[in-house]
Amino acid sequence: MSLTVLERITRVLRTRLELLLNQSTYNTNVCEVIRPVRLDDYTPKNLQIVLTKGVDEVIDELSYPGNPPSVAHKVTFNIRCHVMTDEQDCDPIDYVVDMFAADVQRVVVGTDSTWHTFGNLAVHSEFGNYEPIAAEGGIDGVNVPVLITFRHSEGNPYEVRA
Amino acid sequence: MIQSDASTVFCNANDHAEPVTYYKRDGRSRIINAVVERQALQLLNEDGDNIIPIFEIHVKNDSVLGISSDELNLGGDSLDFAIRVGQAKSLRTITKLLGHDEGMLILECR
Repeated sequence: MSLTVLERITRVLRTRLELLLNQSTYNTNVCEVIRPVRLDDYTPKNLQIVLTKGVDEVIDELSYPGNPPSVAHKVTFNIRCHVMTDEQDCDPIDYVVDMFAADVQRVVVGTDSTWHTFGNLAVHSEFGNYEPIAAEGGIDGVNVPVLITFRHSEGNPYEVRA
Repeated sequence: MIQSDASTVFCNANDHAEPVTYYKRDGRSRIINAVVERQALQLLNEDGDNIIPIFEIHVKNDSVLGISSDELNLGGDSLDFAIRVGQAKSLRTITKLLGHDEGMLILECR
């Protein structure tokens, strides 16, 4: 089964986030990276990442004419970083959350100067404003949005275009 | 009296309670009786994109028969129970202490 350009980008992004699992390179050791299913069956955990897709916007200014034309999309991926530290933990929660978000940025960017293409699938990528997760739900954390712009052939979301 | 009622009346496995496994953050566990409210409040979670079940769990405030209020750790303690009756049990994190007194704890699991 072939994958849409968007799904291929999502999988590359997830693969990069999974580099935070069971490692000693970064300060944050993530316990799991989840893409939720319809009836969500995951349970919140400390240092957990939930990857979801947000707004998908067509960008006319970046779309190209042609045969077929290419259509540009700007999609917001929400990298939701969950923190549930031990009640006895003395570290300020802001410190833990900030470090988590920083490590997410580092692992998504990596050391590749072309990280923003996500394996030649996208044309531009940037991080959005951090959105704190309200603690009254029992979970602390932050959402790190990544805005990824890509093109596909008009009428064919499976064909990537430069 | 309130502590006695908690186990003989409210958390009685012959009535409304059922055995669940309480896992502490450090990995230790024990089987306790709990009343699991499966009238799950489904709502969009903080992630904003997903509907999740929420369960209200009633246990005795006791370090052997239930969960004591001073041992509970909202940073990783969890309970193992079936989301739907008849299904296999799954681990659910305790996310909130909704209320408690000398006899009972009311917990939120997700």
